[in-house]
Amino acid sequence: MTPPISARAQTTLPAVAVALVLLTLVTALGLGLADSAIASAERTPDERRVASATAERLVAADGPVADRANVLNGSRVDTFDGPALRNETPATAGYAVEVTVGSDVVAATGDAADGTTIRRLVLVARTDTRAIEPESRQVTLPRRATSATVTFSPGNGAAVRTMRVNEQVRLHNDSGLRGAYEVELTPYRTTRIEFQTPGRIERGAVEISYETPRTTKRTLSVTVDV
Amino acid sequence: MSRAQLPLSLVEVALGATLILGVALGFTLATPVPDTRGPQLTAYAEDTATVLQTDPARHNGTSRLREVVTSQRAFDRESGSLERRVERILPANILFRVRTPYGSVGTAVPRRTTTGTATVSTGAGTVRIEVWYA
Repeated sequence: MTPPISARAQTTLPAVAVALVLLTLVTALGLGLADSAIASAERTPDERRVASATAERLVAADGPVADRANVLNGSRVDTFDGPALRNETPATAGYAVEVTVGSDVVAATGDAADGTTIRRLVLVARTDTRAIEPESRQVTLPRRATSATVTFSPGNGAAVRTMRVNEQVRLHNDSGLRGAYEVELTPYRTTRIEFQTPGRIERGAVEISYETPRTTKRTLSVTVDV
Repeated sequence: MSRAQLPLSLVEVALGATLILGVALGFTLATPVPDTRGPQLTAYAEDTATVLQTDPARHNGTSRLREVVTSQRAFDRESGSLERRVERILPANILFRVRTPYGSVGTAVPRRTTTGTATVSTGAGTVRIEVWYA
């Protein structure tokens, strides 16, 4: 009843060959799968690290575009660009980085559309300059005003002899004030400016231009792609 | 007997394939996913704290954050405006809770949620800001 041994072995040989081929294929497939899984897990930490380091650098108080911590200087943000970003943050070498403030792309060093993004909350500070031409002897400037330039051009009208800021004499000239003067203001309280003149202050004789900081809340996003 | 010989190696290859694919699947599924939400939330909390610290106080005090921890009265008076301010600073998809020695403002912190926290020490007490995704 026992079949000859040689007959048994012959029938399995092609099957073993097929099995070996199949197993090799499956092994290669599995290795490829595992490799790509590990590669994708290792790729993002690098991007994330570069993105958070760049964002940290940009919002730091001594950063290239910051006035204080988390407060960016609007005009410096406007002039900031890709090469400046490369210079200021050496960590971005070899990566495509895109920096946006709000919805505007501020600086880009390549296409980083599908990269890793870190967002920071910042205030963008810009300075507004306003000018007023007082027609009375008293003017009140808002509390936020940081510095003012007062220009006296009396023409034929009465000269202004004294200017008081918050009841303290700042400028005085018996023969009349003339020209432009820089006046530092305290940002903690409203400023009252008084002019002393024998006559009336005519329109255009005195011009006060003052600067008020204006901050807007924005989101700074740094996207990094390999 | 002679019938059973051929499928045996095919059964073996099926078992081998299952084993190898199982290991590969393990790599795909069990590779740790980096925690991307935590650091971002911590950054949001830290930024909120920094902005509040540099905000000028509404009445007297050095900063808005210092002002709310001065006294119970100051907290009661300022808590509404503090809540509005934090709401404006944070993006719309973020909820927050600000804890001070005199009380808290914001939404109650849910359990089992990744949150980011920032703690600020002032002369009058500690303020803790906690944020999480809505």
